[in-house]
Amino acid sequence: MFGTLLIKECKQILKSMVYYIYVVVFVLFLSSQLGGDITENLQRPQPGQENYGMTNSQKESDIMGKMLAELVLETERNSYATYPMGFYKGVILNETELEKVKAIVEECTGKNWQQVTGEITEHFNSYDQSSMEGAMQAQVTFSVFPRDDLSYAEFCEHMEEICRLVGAGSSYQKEKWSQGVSVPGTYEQAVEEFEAICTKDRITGAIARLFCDYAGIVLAILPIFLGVTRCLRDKRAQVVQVVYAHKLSTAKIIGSRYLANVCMAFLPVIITLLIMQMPYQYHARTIGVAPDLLAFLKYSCIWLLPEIMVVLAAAFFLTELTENVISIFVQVFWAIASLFSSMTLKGSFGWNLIARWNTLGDTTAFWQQRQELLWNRGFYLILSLVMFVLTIVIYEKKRREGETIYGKIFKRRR
Amino acid sequence: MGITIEIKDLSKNFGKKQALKHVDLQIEQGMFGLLGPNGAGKTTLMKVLTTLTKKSGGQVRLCGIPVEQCGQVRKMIGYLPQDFSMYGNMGAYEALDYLAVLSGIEKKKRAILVPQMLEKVNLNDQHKTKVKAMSGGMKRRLGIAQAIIHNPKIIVVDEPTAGLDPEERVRFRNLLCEIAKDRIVILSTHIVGDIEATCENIAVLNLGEILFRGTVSELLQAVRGKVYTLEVSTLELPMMQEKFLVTGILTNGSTANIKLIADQAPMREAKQAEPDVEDAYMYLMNHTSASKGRE
Repeated sequence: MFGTLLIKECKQILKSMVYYIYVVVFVLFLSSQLGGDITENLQRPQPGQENYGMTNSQKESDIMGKMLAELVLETERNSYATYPMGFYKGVILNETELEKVKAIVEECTGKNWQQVTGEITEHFNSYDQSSMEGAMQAQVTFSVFPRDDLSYAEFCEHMEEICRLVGAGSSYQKEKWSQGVSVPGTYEQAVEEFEAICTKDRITGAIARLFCDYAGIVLAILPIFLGVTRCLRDKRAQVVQVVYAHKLSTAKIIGSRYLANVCMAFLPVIITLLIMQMPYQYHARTIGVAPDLLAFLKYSCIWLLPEIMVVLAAAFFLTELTENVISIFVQVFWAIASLFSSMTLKGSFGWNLIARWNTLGDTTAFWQQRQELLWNRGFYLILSLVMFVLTIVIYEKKRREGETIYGKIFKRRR
Repeated sequence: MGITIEIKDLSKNFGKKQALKHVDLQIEQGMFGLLGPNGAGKTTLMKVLTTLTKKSGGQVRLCGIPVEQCGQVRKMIGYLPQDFSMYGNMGAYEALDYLAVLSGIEKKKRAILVPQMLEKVNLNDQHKTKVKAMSGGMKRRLGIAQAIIHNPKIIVVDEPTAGLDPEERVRFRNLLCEIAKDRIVILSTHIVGDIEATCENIAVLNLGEILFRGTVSELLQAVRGKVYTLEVSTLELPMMQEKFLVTGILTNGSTANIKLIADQAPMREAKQAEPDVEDAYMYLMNHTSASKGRE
């Protein structure tokens, strides 16, 4: 009986306009992010290449160099990018504050401000600024060397002072750079990285991670609309009492609805990944690597399925509890908070709903953080099951008592 | 255990408001009418019987099973709520099939029962018609089909004819009488005509209390000899309405033929008339509110 109801629920979802909007938004978002050819980044590095991409470095000298470079560039423009609530806010300092920052730069570099700005001009003039590639190269290779006797502890103190002057959410917060900074990679590093992509990821694994990174953003919000629509559908169609009065148990009714939504929300993910992986499988074979045919499926099931499950469980739980669309607002807030609370676009999964790995490759670093991701996804899987059980409890209570818990509380308060 | 419903000292409170006050009823096989004005507590009583509302006190047993055993009770009841509807995008067949699944009917059985029920409620020609395109009458017929598809011992129908045109109303009443052969059908309504046409046993509920329980003949007996018809001038009408319980007015130019209830003949010209259920109901309601006023 559960299976029959599950199929009927799936058919109902297929008839819903909300579902097609869900599919279209999902596919459009992914194709806008992953539509281009990224196989050129998956070629064996050759000696003498112009650049070997970027690599993460946790060396104190690299961190100090990159952070000072950013500070010098922003101080010269007197425009500091900050993200206090996750959204961009440009900060302009007054004369006194600016002088304090310049003094810190001078203290860290052992050079006066004119010398420092002279070095900036010299560095940028050595690149072809008229081309996009030249401008980018100038940006990524720019580094300011700290004075020889500057200790890391002193540097940290100076950065804290900068944070106080510039305000919250700047790049100078320790948690933003303590995990390392991006520095231009060497040929040896590039070869090592490429070998890791070929052996550990077998090409398709690296692509799958990037797929999950983008898909994870939209899937933190989109499924909520499916869940809310399903829960409010009974009320809108005035079938609540008819359903309540029937024999089938609450666990079967809610279970079939929830599972149908999970399956139908995951279906476009599976289909999209099946289509998207094809060119990468082909590419892997052309460079002599046997692709991992199940990589997309494995990553999607581990990375995206728990996310879909928890978002839908939250939708079911909150909508059955409140009988309104409040869960949409809660979920949008949760997703945005998760998106902007990530200190980095790569790793540092923590307990974030949206797990980010916005890079193609960095395989060694990913495998080092893989356990953290598994704990994160496991937590959301359990959370979704807890919310699912709570939904059953609430539905059963409403079925038995004829009104919502929220309604009761509200009435009593009045 | 026979097909009976026993209600003893049933109470239901919503906060401070008492929707049902110590209701006692014994309902046997056949059509049973529950009559009362809007807000009398009929729907609350129906919801208690169908496990949709928890009682605050008393005992309710359906075919010997306490109403607290929801799972068991739901198996033996069919419920047609006041504003029955289904998902608008489903066809009649699909909707009935969906609700049959909720009743736990297996696929093979459903394949036989669903067309059978649609035929019974005269919807077989419209089995593909979407619920959102159905008329009120068609929806009610679909509602009764879903209420009887699992062959329940008890069927509860709440205000089933409200808003239906006269033809649909008669058809629906006949359908209810037809299905009441081997089971209890509780018809809750404020439309006296429905009760008069279908039920022999009735109860009258007002403000959560049972005012009358018995047969239609017993209800009529209480008002027999107290119903009069009289021709009066239209100018006298307001005075008559103020003085007597007027249950019918038929105006004809400057005169009006009225039907009223009084303990004695109001005028020498007044002629005694045969009471109907509506007269008896009005007399009962009026009598009760008058005694409450005296209290």
